[in-house]
Amino acid sequence: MRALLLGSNPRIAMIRAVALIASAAIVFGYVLVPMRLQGISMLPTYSDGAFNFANRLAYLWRPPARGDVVAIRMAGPSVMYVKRIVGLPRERVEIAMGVVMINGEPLVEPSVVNQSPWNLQAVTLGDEDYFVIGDNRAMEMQDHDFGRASRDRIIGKMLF
Amino acid sequence: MKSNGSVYVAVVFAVLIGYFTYQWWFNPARAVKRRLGEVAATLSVPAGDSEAVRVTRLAQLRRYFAEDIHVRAGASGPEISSRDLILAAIAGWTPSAGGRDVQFVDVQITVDSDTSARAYLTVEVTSPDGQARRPTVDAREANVLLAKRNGEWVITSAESKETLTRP
Repeated sequence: MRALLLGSNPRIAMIRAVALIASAAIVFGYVLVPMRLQGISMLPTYSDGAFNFANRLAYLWRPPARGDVVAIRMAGPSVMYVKRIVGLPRERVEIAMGVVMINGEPLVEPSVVNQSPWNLQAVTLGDEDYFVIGDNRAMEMQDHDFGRASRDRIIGKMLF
Repeated sequence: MKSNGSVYVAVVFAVLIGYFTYQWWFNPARAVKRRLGEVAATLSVPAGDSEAVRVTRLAQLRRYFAEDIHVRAGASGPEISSRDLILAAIAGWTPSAGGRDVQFVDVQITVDSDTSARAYLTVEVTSPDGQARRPTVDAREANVLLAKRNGEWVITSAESKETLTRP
């Protein structure tokens, strides 16, 4: 049993175990942040209780893009919003009868299945602002958290 | 040599104990964090809470709030500027049959002076939902101001903040 657990050289096995634990702590603490999604705002893309990772390296070399599903921090990384980016910096975003309009043009959103007739007056985003929204547009607009998020709040991109 | 070594070990041990005692008990940031934890625990309601326990909880909350407390929901939301009104609002905040759990997470504390401190945190409220399989979770960011009055940290101001803003 001892040989099965520790191999022929316990010292090497111990070093491997410590390296494995350290790598896991770094990867899952700072690179791929594990997340349990709660709520229905991202249906049908993500269901309530789905498990995923936020990839914190995704935006190291490129800015967030339209269509990306991102994790947005609140006061810290323990509780985060998961939303889809629909508007980019300096764009004008509005919602007319459930259709998201970017600079006056309707946005094609294949991930949105049902749309309620939401209406939101036009807003022009700042240099560091993104407009984020969940995929579940069948729910009531007042029950759905969406809007502008500044770049520094976007922690990473959903891995799956 | 041996006795010198023992003395050094004892001194290091005493310094460590002193440091951790200070951090845990006397450090103002720890004291503020502990007080916020007490507030969150008192705002939480276990399932099947009795009326007597509820009244006791409200009496406890009175100790944690300044008389001239200001509470605002969002930058443009309604403001309540009286401890009695806040307590009345909390008394009217009826939990579901399964109770509710209030947690302050990601708490960042700045102690401005011996008698004033600020906290930036996320308030997370979890309520078991009888119909859905999973509990309902609501979370909001908040800025909290505290002051030390009569030797106790009390909340003087609390304002929730929208993470995602819209026009």
